[in-house]
Amino acid sequence: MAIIKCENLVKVYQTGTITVEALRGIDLTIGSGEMVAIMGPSGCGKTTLLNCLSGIDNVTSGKICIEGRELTQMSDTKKTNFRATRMGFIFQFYNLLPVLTAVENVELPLLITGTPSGDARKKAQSLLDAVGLSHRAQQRPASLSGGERQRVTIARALANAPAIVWADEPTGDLDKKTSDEIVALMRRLNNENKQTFVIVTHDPEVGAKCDRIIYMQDGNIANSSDNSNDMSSGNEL
Amino acid sequence: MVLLTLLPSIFAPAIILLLTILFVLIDAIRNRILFNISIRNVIRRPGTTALVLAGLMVGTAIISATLVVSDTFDNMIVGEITETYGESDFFIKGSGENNGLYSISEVESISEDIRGIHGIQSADWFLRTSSGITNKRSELGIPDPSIFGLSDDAVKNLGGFKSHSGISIENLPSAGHVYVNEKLAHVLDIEVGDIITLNKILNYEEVRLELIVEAVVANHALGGLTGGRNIYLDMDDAQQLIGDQDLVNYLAVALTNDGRNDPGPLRNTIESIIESPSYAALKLEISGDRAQIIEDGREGVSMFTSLFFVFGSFSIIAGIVLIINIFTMLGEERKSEMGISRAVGMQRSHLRKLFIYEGFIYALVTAAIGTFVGLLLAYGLINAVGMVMDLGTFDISKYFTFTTTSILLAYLAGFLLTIVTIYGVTRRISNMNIVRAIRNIPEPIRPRNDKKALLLGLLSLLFGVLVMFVGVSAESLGPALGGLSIATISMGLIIRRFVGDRIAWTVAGLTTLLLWMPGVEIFPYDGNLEMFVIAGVFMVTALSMVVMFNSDLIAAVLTRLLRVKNGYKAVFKTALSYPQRVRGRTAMSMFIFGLVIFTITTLSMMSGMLGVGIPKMLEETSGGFDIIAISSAPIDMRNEIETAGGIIDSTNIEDIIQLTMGYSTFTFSPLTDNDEASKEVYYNAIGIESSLYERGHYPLANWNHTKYSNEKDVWLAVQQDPTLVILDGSANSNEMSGTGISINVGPFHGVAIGDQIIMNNSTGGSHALTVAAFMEQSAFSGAYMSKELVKSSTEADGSNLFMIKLVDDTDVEKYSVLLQNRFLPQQLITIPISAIAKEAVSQVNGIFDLIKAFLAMGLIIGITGLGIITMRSIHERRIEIGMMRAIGYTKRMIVTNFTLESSFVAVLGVFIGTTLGIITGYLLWDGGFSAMGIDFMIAWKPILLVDAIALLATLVTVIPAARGASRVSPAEVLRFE
Ligand SMILES: Nc1ncnc2c1ncn2[C@@H]1O[C@H](COP(=O)(O)OP(=O)(O)OP(=O)(O)O)[C@@H](O)[C@H]1O
Ligand SMILES: [Mg+2]
Repeated sequence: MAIIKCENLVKVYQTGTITVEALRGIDLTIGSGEMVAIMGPSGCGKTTLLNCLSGIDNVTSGKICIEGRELTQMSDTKKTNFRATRMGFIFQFYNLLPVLTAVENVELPLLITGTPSGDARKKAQSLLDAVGLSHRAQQRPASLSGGERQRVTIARALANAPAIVWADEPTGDLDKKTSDEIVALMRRLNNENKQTFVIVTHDPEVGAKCDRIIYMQDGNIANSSDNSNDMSSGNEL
Repeated sequence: MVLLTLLPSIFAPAIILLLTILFVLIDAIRNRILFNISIRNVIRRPGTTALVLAGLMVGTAIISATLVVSDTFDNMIVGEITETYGESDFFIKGSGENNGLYSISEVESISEDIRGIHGIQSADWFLRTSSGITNKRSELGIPDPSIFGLSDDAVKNLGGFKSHSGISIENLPSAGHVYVNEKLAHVLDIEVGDIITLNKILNYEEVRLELIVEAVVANHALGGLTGGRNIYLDMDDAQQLIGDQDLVNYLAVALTNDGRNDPGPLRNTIESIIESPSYAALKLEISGDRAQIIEDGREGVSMFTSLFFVFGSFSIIAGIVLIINIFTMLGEERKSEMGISRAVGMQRSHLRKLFIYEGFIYALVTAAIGTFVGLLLAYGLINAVGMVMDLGTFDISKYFTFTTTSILLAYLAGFLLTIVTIYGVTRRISNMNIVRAIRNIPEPIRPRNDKKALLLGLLSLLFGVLVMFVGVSAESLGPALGGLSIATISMGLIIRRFVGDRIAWTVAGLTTLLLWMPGVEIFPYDGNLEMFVIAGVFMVTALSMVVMFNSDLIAAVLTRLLRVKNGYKAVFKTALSYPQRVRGRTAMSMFIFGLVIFTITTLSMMSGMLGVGIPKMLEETSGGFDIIAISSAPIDMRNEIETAGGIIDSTNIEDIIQLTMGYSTFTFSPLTDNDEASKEVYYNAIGIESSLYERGHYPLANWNHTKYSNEKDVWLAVQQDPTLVILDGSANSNEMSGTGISINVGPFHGVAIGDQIIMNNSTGGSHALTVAAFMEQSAFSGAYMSKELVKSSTEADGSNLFMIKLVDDTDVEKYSVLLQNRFLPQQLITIPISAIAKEAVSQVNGIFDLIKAFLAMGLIIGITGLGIITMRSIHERRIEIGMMRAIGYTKRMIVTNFTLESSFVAVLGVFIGTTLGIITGYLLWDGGFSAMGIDFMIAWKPILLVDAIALLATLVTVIPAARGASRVSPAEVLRFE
């Protein structure tokens, strides 16, 4: 069952006289509960695709359906609310609000969707527990390591039990060991909660741990390789 | 002149300025690259630069405005005095002989003696008297013009006259003619050629003179004498008004230019002549001294100016805080830039230089702009004063002036203020950590066991205690309590080590606050006006500290109270946590808001209480009557109006109380003033009639309750028994403790109920009176006694004091003029109480409004500062905003978030200021107003109005920035870095 579906997705950036065709008619379907990696050379349009699919950027033309609802037809407020309830986000940097503690960061999406404060705090604690950070709950991002920060971000991304989690180079800033831990964590959560993960990455090892890798080139999808039959062998290509 | 005396005082700062400029310039030439970068930093973003300049100039503007206002007032004082004194330097008059009237033949020798002194130009006797005057043509009249009978010599010696058209007049009007000055001409609509009537009652006979106006003279030199409404005529003509030729009562002395340079010794010589045995019996004394008056006037001006300085200093402090804020932000903004410069090898001192050069350029430009803006401000202010205060024909704006000294001084002060502040901030910025700077990581919060903080705490504690001891030894409240406050605040730095920030600062703040609270009197010294600033600064600092370190609690309570729903809980969380994290910025903004709102609130409290209190006091004085009237000759007003009303319609009059008022000396032995065995007091003796207490409302404060059963009994007894007296409330008032303000302490202070006072008759005899009661009111001062006693013991021999009640809805002001005209020969002067009350209140409010307007500058600073902070923090946090948008903040939530964030600070500041202002209002009431019989009240309306305006203005500046934040595209900002 497709949870993410886009047809003929085009994104053109216009800066002054220069036009950049970042996405040149992408057709893509991602199934519910899939964990997909998007890979490709720098500048091929990965981030752009992710931003368009999640609704934080507007498309030039084409159609995006998430959970059967047409994202491209929604108002900004509707899209935002949709994001708040159905999506989680993980970015490479700047994931957390520096003025809030770890647990406050995690409970933020819950508060946005109107969860009572007490429940939100409990849920946030258990999420931190799930990512193995309950002992850091009261610390602010500045005093956490990069890996810890990213784990807090993952906890936050999962707060509202979203259908989809978008991650743009979640391990880009981490060493190999931490990076492995983070991917393993995502994999585990994906298996446990059946949530869809879309991960943009440069790291083949990260890609290898996903169900499927979508390769992009010059704003197009080059090919898509399926790892799901052979989860153990990382580098099939 | 003024410039010369002030020169040394600007000499030092001028040299400092020049040296600073020279030093920086030489340094800049040696570091040309750095200087170039600095210049580029200044011109790189014109928007920011304009904002910075605007923020920086405020302090200078206020200093400059205050100095120029003071220049103008000085100019006015000197100008006005020159006008009212003409060429004369001293006026001499006496109380001897015939009520101060002397036969010219008898006193001629005195003037000759004085003329003989070296340094004296002239000395001329003249006659000054008064009578009713009407202009026949316009039918307008007044009861009390000043009439000057002059000799030809006097006219020449005292500066002569200037006609309307500017032609000098050096001689007297011909017989049967007069000159009138412009002030009088204005009131009575007099033109040259008009016939005026002077009339007065002299020994029960009406004297009537008809004279022709020969010229209207300018209010200048002789024409401006006493500053009043004047008539000038030949001495012989004037003497008809006193019924005796040959009498004079004033001696005008003019000095030569040499003499004027040093009038002190000449005054002594003159005094020794008039006090010499041959003339002592004449009881002459110097009644007017130009130099003295100028000096007194200057003192008055300097009080007024210091008032402006005091209130202005709040805005200056706010301005300094704004400078700190702006430069800290400039620093933070360039942090990573600077970090990289450091990494590639720039020295800390280089970075500092960058800022100093930049600050130097700003200071140079800003001080100039500020000085100029201050000049404009002062001009506006002076014109506003002219409009607010009803000064009649007097036009203060024509005296607007400024001295080079003031302008230089303002520039210097502004420049130094700016550069010193910038230098301080720069030191902090350049001490940053390179890595943190490059990666834009916020500076860590000081850990508890920070040694530096502890040391700083100990040092400032020591400093505070030291200042306190200086204050104690000088018995001066400001340093004593200020020092103690520094000490208690420093405690925060010390005890945070043991109990953490929240408890430490809360305790330190509350303790400091307590020192200033009503009822807490630690030092029994008197303070003065600057106490207000010191109190304001410490109270606002203390409460800001408490609020700052408990803002999370306040935020939590607020969130609960406001029943924040749905996603806005998240907004509240993010919005209210930011100000708590960037404590420095928040505290400074809160401080500015707090301080300015504090001052305005205090002023509103004062004007509110006075606005209610002054009419109440006047109401007490009037006893419920509409008009109080005093005549020179006795009038049987009730009868005359009944039988031959003339212009007065008796049906408009409800009641007339006729009293007899004379003057007498009283001797008594005060109970408390043990340094004086007995005291002599020259006071009103007022003869009462029963209608005064039956129909008027004059409550007694204190009387012998065992002897009399009610107030009426007391009055009745006094009315009938010539050995009893009631004194007005001033005899009864208590000196206020600790404030140094003593209001309404009358000359009879120290007398108690049952005491005896001795009344000395005009005929030489004396008469013992027992004090039966004290009145509540003290404005209408007098010793109230039986009418017969007043008539037998003083010059007064009929009704000359009247309390008039009009039928409701009668035009009181119009009626008082009608009454004046009806009894012009008796020179009846009427005082319309309610009109005076209204005018007094509007003047008081006007002055307060003026100061508030001055203060609004501070508020503008606060709001500008907050606007800058909001814009900057939005700019700094673009990526955060993008992330918030990504995880589900709608645009409206972002707008709310940033609006809330800034208004939270403003609301807290406003809260702090309002609370403390009200408390200070209470303190002022407790220390002064209450003794004036004014009730405590909180003028909520103007206070809340200012609060609302402040908050509204904050929203207006912040919301556009917040809307800008909501337009941040998450895809754009999250992409890079
Ligand atoms: N705001 C923008 N304005 C103009 N061009 C843009 C903008 N954002 C992206 N582009 C261009 O669109 C193309 C795709 O960019 P995108 O960031 O999606 O690449 P990417 O695959 O994520 O690269 P990387 O792996 O380096 O993150 C690039 O050529 C980029 O220069
Ligand atoms: Mg990218």
